[in-house]
Amino acid sequence: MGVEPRILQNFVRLVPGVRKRLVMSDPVVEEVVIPDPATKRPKTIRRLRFTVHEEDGMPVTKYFTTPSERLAQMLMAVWERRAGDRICVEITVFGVGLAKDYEVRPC
Amino acid sequence: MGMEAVDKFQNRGWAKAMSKGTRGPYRMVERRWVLEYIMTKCAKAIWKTAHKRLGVISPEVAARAAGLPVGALRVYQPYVDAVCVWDDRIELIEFKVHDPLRAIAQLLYYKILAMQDDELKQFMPRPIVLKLVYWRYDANLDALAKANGIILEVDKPAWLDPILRDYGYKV
Repeated sequence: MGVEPRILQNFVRLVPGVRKRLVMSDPVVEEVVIPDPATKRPKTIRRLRFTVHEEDGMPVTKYFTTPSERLAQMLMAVWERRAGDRICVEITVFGVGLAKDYEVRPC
Repeated sequence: MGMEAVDKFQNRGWAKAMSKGTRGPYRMVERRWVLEYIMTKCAKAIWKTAHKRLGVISPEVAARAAGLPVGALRVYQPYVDAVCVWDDRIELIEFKVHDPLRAIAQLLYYKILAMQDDELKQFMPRPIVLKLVYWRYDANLDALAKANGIILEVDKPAWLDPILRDYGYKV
């Protein structure tokens, strides 16, 4: 009936090549056990987690997590120079594997 | 939060916690510098962005690489470190830790690309101002920059000192 299906999820997912605008706060480094994408064995990783208040202009209550140190460094550079208690960033991910790269724009 | 407190936080509880295995934290220099600059000195700009790809990918390159995944052609599209749009100007900013002479040619090239850029079209016809950010003043570099219509700005965040010493510079 013309209604787009929506997936309920409490985390933000980045799609390669698509820019995502997020308003976030409260970064925390957490340790979690996840299945290794290649071997499927459990492995422990550390990741940076933000609480997301706005996703592409829509108010939400979600988390954004990244195990990438590279992305974490960029987000924390913005966080550490923020004016208020939240940051607004536009994140785009490109490529996969070792060639994966991120663009982070303060907005 | 004072600058000292910020630096204490940066150096760097969270970075250490994120580091993998036994190695030290991943050290990001230029991207961090760019983002911090934008957050502080361009905070009031009407539009700002970091690492902006400029211009368009040439049709010849795109035709040769048909069917490649999204983003694969980005390497053919040069990017400027920062763009800050103010009421009266568009600033293209290039940051250099090493080899600032390269930035002169890069900025002149970026100016040409910026004039064809779709995203920046909305801010035209503001004049484009070119800016080179380097961590120390150099009179000869300044003269060269001025001769090419580029502004040399000196900016050295405190966290850059130990990194420059690691690279062998006297700071």
